[in-house]
Amino acid sequence: MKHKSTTVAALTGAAMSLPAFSGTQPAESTLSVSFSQYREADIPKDEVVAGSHERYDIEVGKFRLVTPLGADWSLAVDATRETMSGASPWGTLYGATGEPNLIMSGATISDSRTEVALSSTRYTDNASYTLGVARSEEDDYKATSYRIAGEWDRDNKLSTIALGFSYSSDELSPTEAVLFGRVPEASRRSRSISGSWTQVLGKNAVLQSGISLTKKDGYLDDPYKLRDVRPDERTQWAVSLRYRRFYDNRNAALHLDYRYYDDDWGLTHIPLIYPGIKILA
Amino acid sequence: MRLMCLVLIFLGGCETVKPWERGTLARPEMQLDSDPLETKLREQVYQSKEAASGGNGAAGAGCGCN
Repeated sequence: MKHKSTTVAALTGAAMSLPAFSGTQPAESTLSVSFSQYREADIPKDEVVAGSHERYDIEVGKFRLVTPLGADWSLAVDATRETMSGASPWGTLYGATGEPNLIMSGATISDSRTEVALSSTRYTDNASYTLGVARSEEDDYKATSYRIAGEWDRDNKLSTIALGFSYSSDELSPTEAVLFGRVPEASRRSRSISGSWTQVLGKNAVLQSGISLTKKDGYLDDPYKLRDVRPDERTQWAVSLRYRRFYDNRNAALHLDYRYYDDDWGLTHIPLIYPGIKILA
Repeated sequence: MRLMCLVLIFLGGCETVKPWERGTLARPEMQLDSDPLETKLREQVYQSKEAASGGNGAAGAGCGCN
């Protein structure tokens, strides 16, 4: 009997240590690498009055290392290397009948971006706290960002509340600024707060609802457009729902992701649903 | 409003899950971000192409790209 009680206690203890939907310290180091390539469709030639009709060809390589540190900490290292080439829209010209036509750059634009991000997380029995810093560099765009986030488990780890803040300081230095009359240097800032609530709905289903608010200020124009004048402040907000359900009889997991976005520039109501089904072997 | 109703319907169906019944929830394919690299790439493309960002429940630091 004593043996049985000990076994049950051990099993219960092991089960309690199963991840809820908050951060839990990784048990071992994990290295992930991915490579993606995509090409934007060319613009129909009859819609381009000047420049190239070819759009961007983009290659993205990503690397991620997550490793435990001691008994209560973990470290995550993310690196991204991105190369892109193609033509970019400079502006729009209206034809004799009022139809818009594009003025494009030449097809010789070639750029690359490198980003490195570090974050460290401390874990307690029912919470985790993360600090992160990231640096991104292109020839004409450099950004440094910071984030702080926390997650708290409630109700025996059946629900999790998360809260996070981030701040980014970006510096622009457009190429060939004198030749094309572009702003030689500019800066912008971005501050964001986000929160989410994750709820286990049953032994096979979980739902997360999230909300975020972002404020940007500074030079928000696109310096490569021929005449681009935008407000110097922008407030964005978004809400999201993410649902996961596992079907034992199909041995498959259903993923439903929904997001609604709005901002004070008049970009409103973008309902997006990303459905996905992961069928296991 | 429809969204709120949907949420309430889901939450109305909440049930207590014992610790030893959480094996399925712990499966990789049941995680909200089962592939962080793919999620980050998708978020970057969304931000770049739709001029929109946020709402995914985590504090991102932006992609630092223009």
